[in-house]
Amino acid sequence: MNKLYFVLAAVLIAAASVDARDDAPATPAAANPAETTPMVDMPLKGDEPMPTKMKNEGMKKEDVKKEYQKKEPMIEEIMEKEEMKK
Amino acid sequence: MKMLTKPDRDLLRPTLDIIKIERRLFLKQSLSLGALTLLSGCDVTNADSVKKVLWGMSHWNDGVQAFLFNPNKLAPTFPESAITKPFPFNAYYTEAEVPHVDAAAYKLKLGGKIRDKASWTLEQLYALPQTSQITRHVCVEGWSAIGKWGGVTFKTFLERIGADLTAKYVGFVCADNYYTSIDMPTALHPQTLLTFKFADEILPAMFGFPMKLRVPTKLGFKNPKHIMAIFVTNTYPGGYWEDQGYNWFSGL
Repeated sequence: MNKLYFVLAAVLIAAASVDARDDAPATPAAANPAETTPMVDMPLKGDEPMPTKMKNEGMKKEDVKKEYQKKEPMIEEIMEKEEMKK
Repeated sequence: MKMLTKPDRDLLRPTLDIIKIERRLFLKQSLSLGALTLLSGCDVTNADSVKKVLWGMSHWNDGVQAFLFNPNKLAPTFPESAITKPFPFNAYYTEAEVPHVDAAAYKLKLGGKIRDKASWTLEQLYALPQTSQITRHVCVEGWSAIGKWGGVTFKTFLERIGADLTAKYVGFVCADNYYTSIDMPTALHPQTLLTFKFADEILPAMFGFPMKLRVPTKLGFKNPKHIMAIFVTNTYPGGYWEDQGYNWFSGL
């Protein structure tokens, strides 16, 4: 019976945590720090499909940049505003 | 309580077997019932609902993996003779598209719950106490390879910058727009290295110059290359593949 309790607990916990990790809200595209500094040169062909098995999932190279641009405001806020506890 | 003799047990065996089978069946039916309960709780034609349920399961899976993670258990190490040659290149782009970071202009940006957020030059990073390891890189795509990486233990670096070691997450932003994050116990694991060398040479561009986080206790996509920024936070930062549905903890 212990295994049954474990399975039921897993189902309940999973259902309860459904909203615990929503995607970051989409925000207007922000500048990529790597491209705004002179320290990085990356000749990416963004409109091409990703190589190897990633291609099978229909992903393009530029998808990574697009996702980062959605996440960037959140990361920037953490970088700049989140502080050590005093 | 009277102990059963062997003849008693032989006599009862068919009954005991039936009880075992029934219990197994009951467990299987419970699992199916659980799955049906989950599905009936949402409209299967509503992809968002299903996605949310799957995210919930993955999040729960992260919690279990984090709970089971032993911060003192070491990943296997290997002799030099076991190193994979040539070591495979793997990224979401081809070798011709690898980002080239200007070493002279490079500055590692720090943020979040860190006391000293001053940027670090490569010269400063190379001056940190260095160590090396020969470990297996395991890719989520199903291949693995053994390599030698050298650098500073990430724990030493986090202590040096005054990171809040009680925070939940350490995040990374890379020159190729890749981003990911790991849990703090893994960041403090003795084999988690901030590496500047591969095969005793300065990390080549194809393997992540100027630095790569080497985490031998996690899958390859949790080992960011070309790191430009590091932050410490209690806010879940996710990661590129993780945000596409790959398991966030991804421990080995």
